[in-house]
Amino acid sequence: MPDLTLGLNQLDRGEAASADRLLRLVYAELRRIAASRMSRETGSHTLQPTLLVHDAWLRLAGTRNWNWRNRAHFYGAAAEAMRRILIDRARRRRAQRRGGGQAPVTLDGLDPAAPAFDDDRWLALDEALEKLAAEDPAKARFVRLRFFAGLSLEEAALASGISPATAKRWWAFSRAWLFEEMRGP
Amino acid sequence: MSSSLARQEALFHAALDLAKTARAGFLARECGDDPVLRARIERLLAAHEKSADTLEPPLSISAAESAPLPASIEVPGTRIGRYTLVEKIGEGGCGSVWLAEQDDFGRRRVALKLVKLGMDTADVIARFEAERQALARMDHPHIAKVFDAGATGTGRPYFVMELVRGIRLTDYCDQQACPLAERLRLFIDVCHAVQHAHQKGVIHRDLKPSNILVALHDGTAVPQVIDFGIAKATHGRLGGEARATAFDQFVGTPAYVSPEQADASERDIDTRSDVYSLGVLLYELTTGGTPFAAETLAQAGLGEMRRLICEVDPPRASQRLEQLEPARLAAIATARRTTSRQLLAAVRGDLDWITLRGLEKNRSRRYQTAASLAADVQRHLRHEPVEASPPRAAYLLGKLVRRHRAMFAAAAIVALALLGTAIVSLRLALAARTAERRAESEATAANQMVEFLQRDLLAPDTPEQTPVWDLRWRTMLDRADASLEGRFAGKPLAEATLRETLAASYRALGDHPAEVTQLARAFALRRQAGPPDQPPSFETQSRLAAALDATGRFVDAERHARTALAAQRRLAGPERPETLRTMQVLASILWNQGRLREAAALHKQTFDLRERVLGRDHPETLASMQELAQAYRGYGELISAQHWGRRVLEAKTRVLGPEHPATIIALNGLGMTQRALGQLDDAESLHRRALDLRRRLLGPEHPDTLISQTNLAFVFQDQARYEEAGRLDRETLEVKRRTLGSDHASTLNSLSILAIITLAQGRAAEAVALHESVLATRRRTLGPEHPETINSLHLLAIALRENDRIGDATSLFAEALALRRRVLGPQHPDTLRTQEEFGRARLLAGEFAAALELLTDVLAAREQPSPRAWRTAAVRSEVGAALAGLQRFELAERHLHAAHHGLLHADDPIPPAQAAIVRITATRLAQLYRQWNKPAQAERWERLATTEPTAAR
Repeated sequence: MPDLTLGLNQLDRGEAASADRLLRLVYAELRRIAASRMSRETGSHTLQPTLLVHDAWLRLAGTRNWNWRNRAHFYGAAAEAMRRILIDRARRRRAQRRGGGQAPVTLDGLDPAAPAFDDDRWLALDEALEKLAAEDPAKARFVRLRFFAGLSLEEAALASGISPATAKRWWAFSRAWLFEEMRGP
Repeated sequence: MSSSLARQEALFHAALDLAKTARAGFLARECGDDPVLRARIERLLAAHEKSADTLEPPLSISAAESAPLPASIEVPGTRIGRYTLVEKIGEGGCGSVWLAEQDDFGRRRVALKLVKLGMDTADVIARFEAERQALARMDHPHIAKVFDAGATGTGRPYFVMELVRGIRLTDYCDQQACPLAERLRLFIDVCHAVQHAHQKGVIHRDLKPSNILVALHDGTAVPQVIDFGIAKATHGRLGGEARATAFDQFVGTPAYVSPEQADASERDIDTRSDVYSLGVLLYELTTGGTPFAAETLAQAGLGEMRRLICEVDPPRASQRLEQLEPARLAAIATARRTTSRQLLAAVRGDLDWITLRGLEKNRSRRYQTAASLAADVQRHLRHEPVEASPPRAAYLLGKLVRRHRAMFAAAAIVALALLGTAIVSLRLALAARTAERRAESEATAANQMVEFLQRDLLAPDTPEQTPVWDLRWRTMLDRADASLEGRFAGKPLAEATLRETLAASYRALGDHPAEVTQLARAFALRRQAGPPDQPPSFETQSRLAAALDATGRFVDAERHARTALAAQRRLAGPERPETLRTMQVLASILWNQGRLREAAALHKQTFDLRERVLGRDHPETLASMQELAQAYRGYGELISAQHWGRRVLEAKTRVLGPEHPATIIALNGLGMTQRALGQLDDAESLHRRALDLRRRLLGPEHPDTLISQTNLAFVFQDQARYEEAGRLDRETLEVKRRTLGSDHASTLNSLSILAIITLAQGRAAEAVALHESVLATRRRTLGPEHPETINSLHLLAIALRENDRIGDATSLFAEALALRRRVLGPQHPDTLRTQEEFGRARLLAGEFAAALELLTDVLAAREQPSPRAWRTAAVRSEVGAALAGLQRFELAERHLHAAHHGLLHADDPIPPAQAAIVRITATRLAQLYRQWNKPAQAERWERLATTEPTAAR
């Protein structure tokens, strides 16, 4: 088991390198859990990223009572890791589709449950989020927590250090903004 | 973009707060000279409306973790569709309930249920529409009608229902202190209501006290079931399996939900699911609590919750009451206007069985309809015999006969031996004459003969009479074998039957090669005697497969088992008990070949079939359950092993009694699991219990007593109590040498264990000598490729390594590993154990690359099933050491840190005998930092390595 303790403790002490390290840890852990699920749950090729993220948290953090600060770091990393997994996969599958090959069931097996979110939609969302990040990085982070780490409004607010009321406004605005952005000019 | 995001956002929110009609004016004012900005905000506002439905995160989150949703914005006077809200009358997990007035229906008063945000409104409504016709057909005095459904302006679904002014059933009963009989009468009303709905094709799916309200009509309590059709409409909106795994998709309320509904993979819910919920309700009305407490389920986490609901049997209602604190029991009795004693007496018996039948995990064994459940409760009230019966009654009736056959049929000849040689020959002669007299119907004769032998001569049902095995009987058996030769010329089936009996006796003695010989002969006799497709000959073949399995001839064993199984399935039927026995044999063969998954799956399949065909308390079902527990243990899924182990121990204790041999096997099995889990105190007490029982019941020299003695020695060894372990094992060894001879497999086992203990005590040279002698004997008696022989090789290699004879150790490890890979397969736990020990030898020899290669595989294999086990961390520590040796410092550091952390926070405690691994890992870290030239960190770890292993916490 990768040592999350170290990653989180160093974050607390403000060591810059460990954010990246934490991300790598979480990324590896997510892929590992996903892979082991895939090999065990034969017949089911869909997994819920959110559950994966939560499982990863439980497994990495163990039974300790981490405070929300640690947790926020973790979920930030988890959202980014999950984003990479989902987006990479969407890109790969799209490339394969364009190349005429049949899309294989990938190891990640991360099928977001909502049918509305196909590969193209994920990619469009990610692109729009990039643009939002350029203008308002805090909101983009907040939205990523919601979309990729599956946090509720309340949790995402806590992890972003804003009040629930602000979170609600951020969410309404960002969502409309992204929607508009994704629809294209 | 011309205008800043902040300005856009401010305008967006300002406009959003206004009524729609006021927005245009507001924006015209604010963005007067900037038409681009104004268009942008308008687009954002439009996007806001659409995005609320279409751009929600598709990832759901567990309800347990998510915070409550924002409070609703509805207030009295709010108009929703044709309804005006009057007053909020309830607030629940899935929304709020309002008293409302219907505008166009003579201001009819209705209950309006507003579903919480976050539901896919269109889908909910569509589901409701699909159900509407069925709902409309329901017309029953105890069912509150659902009139309508729709969506609010903000997109929340709502349902309109007949207004019921009542309180929940359980509260009503407690407030009125209803006696048990009255509660049961109300319950019957509820059952009839549910039955009515079922007849109209509506399943409730969320029956629970808060959905069953009691109102008083003219002083009479009238229960009304509400919310029919709502659970279905508001759940499973995506229908897919993935969504159903989240908490918020848990259809129903955990404490009341049926196993098939709790099981995420089970999409096929029928009316019997409601019957289960009614069973829970009956249990609650009777005992004051649900079979599984809501708090327990809430704390359990989703997986554990499912396991509880799907696998764990709740205590009988009367047991539940007995387990309560006296004060609590008294309170529950008072609420039923009775005393504790009277309540217990009233519940014990019929109500126990009725609730159990309602709560059957397997719905095909549940009451099939709500009406039949009601009818049984009615019978109970009328003091008529109920349909439900104690699950073990059937078994108890046939128990004596079955015990003779199933447990002890094997030992017929041995029992003869007890009576002395004279009687043996007399009986055999008698048996032979019996056979001869009935030459025409030989098969019948043979059957009668065996029955006679088994039933009349063998009655070791009381343990005191269980024979004590020793060498004398071996001689007797051989003599019996010889006496069969030539006596049954022309009576092949009679001879086959007797040889089968002999084989069983050899089996009981542990002489499997002799058993194989007898069964092979019996099988051949049967095939030549009768038509080729005779079922009995396949039963013999199945037993032959089991015997071959026991001698380690797995390939032959599997071939016979598969042939027999195919034939039995075809000729006798796929669910016949004998077919299922062959499945168990095949599973064992697969297991011994290291095909663990296949084996475990087959055991599970056998268990499920037996549970269904024979009943859950049948001894063979229990035997399957035992196998399943063992399979999980061997597989490393120790928590499952523990669960099944406890379950089988409970069932056997209940059904067979606490002193039955099979119950003691269960004690033993659970003891081994607890030991593997590091629960050494518990393991010790289980093995002690088994040992005491066996000493008392079977005598100190019985093979089973010796097995218990060995198991206890193992626990001592883990506890680093080597003296006691050695003493116990030497005692065992002496008895075995005397009774079984020095070359017997079981004797060698004890000798091998003695060698292990000796090694643990640090006397490596002595251990080497002991292992060498065991290995030599095993090679001679079992052959070089028998798993036990290879195990000796493995143990000898370890002893050599610990004796610093690394070169010798390496070549033996290589040999053992190659053999295990070939015989057991590369993923077999034993193979991996050899690979791990081999890796450690390589490490000691300084061959780091070779060590790394060996250990990486082991780590991968351990990590998957048990990432938080100390053994996994221990291998990781070895991997780290190998990496450090290869100067791959960063990776080594990561592994060693993780290993150290993993060891300190392992799910299973490290046994004292292995505790040194924590310090070793700290030392490895220190060495790593020395090599890496990081003296400060090196010193820190050196300090940690010299202090207590837990100091680093």
